[in-house]
Amino acid sequence: MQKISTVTLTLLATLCFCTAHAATVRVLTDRTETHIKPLFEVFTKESGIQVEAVYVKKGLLPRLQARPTEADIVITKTADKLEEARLKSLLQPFTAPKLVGLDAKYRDRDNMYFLTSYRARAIFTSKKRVAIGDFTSYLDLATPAWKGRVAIRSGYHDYNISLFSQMMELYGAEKTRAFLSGLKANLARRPQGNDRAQIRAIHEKKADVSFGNSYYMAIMMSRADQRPWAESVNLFFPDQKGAGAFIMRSGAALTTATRNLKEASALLEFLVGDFAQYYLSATLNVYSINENLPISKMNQELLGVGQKEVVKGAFKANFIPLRDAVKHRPAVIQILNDLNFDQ
Amino acid sequence: MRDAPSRRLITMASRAFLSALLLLFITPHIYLIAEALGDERASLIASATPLALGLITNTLYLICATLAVALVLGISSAYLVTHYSFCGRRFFATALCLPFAIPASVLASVATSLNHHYGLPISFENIAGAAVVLGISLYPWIYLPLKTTFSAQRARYGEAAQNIGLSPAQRFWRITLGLARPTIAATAMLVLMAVVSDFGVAQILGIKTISSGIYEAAFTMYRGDWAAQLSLMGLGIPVAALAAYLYFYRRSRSFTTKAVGYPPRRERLHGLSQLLIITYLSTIIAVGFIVPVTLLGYWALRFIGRISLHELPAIIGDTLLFCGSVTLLAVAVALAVTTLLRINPKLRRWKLATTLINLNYAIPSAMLAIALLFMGSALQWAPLQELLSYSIILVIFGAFLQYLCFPYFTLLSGYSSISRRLDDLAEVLGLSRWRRFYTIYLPLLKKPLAVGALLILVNILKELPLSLILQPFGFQTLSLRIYNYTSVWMFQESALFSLILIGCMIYPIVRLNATISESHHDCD
Repeated sequence: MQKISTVTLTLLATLCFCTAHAATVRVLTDRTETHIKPLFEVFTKESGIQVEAVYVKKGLLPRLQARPTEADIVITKTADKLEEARLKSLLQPFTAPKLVGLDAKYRDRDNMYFLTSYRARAIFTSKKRVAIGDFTSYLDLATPAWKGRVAIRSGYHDYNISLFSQMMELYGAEKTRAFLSGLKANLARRPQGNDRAQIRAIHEKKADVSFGNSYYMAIMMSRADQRPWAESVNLFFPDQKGAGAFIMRSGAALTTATRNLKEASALLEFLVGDFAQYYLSATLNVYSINENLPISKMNQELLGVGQKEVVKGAFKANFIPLRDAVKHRPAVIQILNDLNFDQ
Repeated sequence: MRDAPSRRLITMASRAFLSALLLLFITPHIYLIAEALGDERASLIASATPLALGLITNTLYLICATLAVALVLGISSAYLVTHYSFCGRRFFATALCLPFAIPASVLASVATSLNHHYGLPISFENIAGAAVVLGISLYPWIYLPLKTTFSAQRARYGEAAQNIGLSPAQRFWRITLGLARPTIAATAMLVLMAVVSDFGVAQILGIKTISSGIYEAAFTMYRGDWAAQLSLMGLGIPVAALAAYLYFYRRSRSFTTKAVGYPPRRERLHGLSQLLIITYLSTIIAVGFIVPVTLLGYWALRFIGRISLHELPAIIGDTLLFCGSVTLLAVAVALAVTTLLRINPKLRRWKLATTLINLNYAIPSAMLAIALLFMGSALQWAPLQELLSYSIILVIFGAFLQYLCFPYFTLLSGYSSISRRLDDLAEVLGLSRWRRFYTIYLPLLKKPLAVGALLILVNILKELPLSLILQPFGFQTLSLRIYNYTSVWMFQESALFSLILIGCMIYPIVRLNATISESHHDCD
């Protein structure tokens, strides 16, 4: 009986536990814990503000919609979600000088969210079967010359929907539909796996080109089991003479919660500071929003090799405003449905 | 003798409790239907017919292929350990449960790694591969109960069949399998529902199923109505299968009789036949358990420097707290409900209504989590919202809704095996209902209680979708940590956590096997 009482009390106490830290920031994020937690630990050490995070790999936006003030900050690897959150009135504007002073292309025009980093949605090409100059633009990969040679992950993945939405803003709906139709006809296999699985397909000669984020090159080179895949491909930045390569953006924003506003702003400012930017660039091999910081060594050595327009990993990026890209999302999804893209 | 008014009061209170419970169980279904019908935009079928049909077709293929694998492995292994005597038979009888300790998603990540990193010339990233992975992980669902059923069959049926000239193959098909058909159907149903609900394997192997479609619809397309429509389609598959099973079972029930006589003698095997059976069973255990655990152990040792271990005690603590809480709650509620149904004749009509509890297991976990997320947010009271964000109440509640069926049905079965004559005797002796429960029912229900608790525990330990979507701040289970690593292809880093999870599963599974076998002494 005593055992049961103790267990019951312990259970009740744990179930009813609520934190009451004086200086705390609550973060809702879909970033990988091992990537971002070290930053939170440094922030806590420097500022004394505790960071409590929940790592919601799936369902970030529905969670934010269901519990708008659960967290003080939302951090995401796909900033398109922040635009969606803004449209649903789930964010509040930031006022911290360091954030307001960011370059216009790195923040929302009404200061509802800002970017923490970006990477290119680039094209990985077989070193042996694709030469520099075989194509220059994303649109080229939808032409008959590439039939049976293209690999891509699910069309419905956030990265691809973001890419196609940006395309639709740049080229219009008709051209984007034609591109997706041509792309599907050129697929070497049905969309499956993640970005690295496509690069592996190139290594195994199942495809010649694939779509992928630029940081995967460095990630694969640092893992013994994936290095052979990376060594068999080049990374090509499309449209360097045109509008520039499309990019995937990570970002952060304040939610509508108001209880820890000061602490939340402090963390957001920390994320755009030199240390956090250097950390993100050096460890995750993404591109910093601080243009004074050097591009990571791996990116300098591995990306855009053979492209005259790309100097030591520095590429021309197409910063289409998220407000203009995200509005095309439903139309992109409808096209994917019409084409039955993933089957 | 108690006063009639107090009995009426107890009956009213019991009805209120059962009504509240049923309402809790029906509410996610109501949400699903409301969400599915609510949006004014075109339905999934109308807007994306090829997509919807593709998801349904893939799911049906996956179900059929997985059932084929699981049934072959489950039936063959159960038959061999119960009908033949060979070297190491007792060891195999227990060891064949062990693949159940490995979550299907962990098995999928091992299979992927064997192909990617170690050059295994078989790719599992297709429906056939997913079916093999799921089939190996889920066949113990069929093996365990079938082992008991085969052991309970009596020799005289086989002897009678032999006397009328049936061949061994015909005896196996018509008698052995025929008598076990209800068990096979019921366990196949569990496998079916697990396949419909699976998310981890589909994601790791890149298979497009109804479950992965729900995630895509809800979290990528932001179409909650499509996700709900897919959930209802997913729910329809086991409901249709359940309806077919109930129809079939009712027809065949009149042909089974109470077990009388001795069990069949095991045929002693020697030489080549013994070697073949040992090889076959060893292969199942090797593929389903030894190889994955060995590879995970190798990774855990080799890559331990890549992970931070200081959070491990908290993760294990969260896992045990979550699993323990759900198990205790579910067993307590199941015991309360089944006892009420037993001791109060006026509540017998509620038995049919309580079969609705079964349906929640068939709801894809992702959709149940979404339903709870939004239903929870509808309760606009700040302290409650704070509680939901910081405690594991909602995750526990979701798991309770989904898995109550396990202890509920084992206890229902336990009560049905307690003769009603004992109730009459208790009445004659003037025992109060509480004393009847404490002195008669509870001792006789020890085994069903243990089986129900162990069944729910082994499922909760592997639970992922509810935790993934509903996790509060500062909460992390072993399953979540494994998923966080495997979702970014850090399979080696996930190995230590996978091994610990498997370690937590082994004792309940071995205990479950022993408890079920104890009920039929001639099992092992």
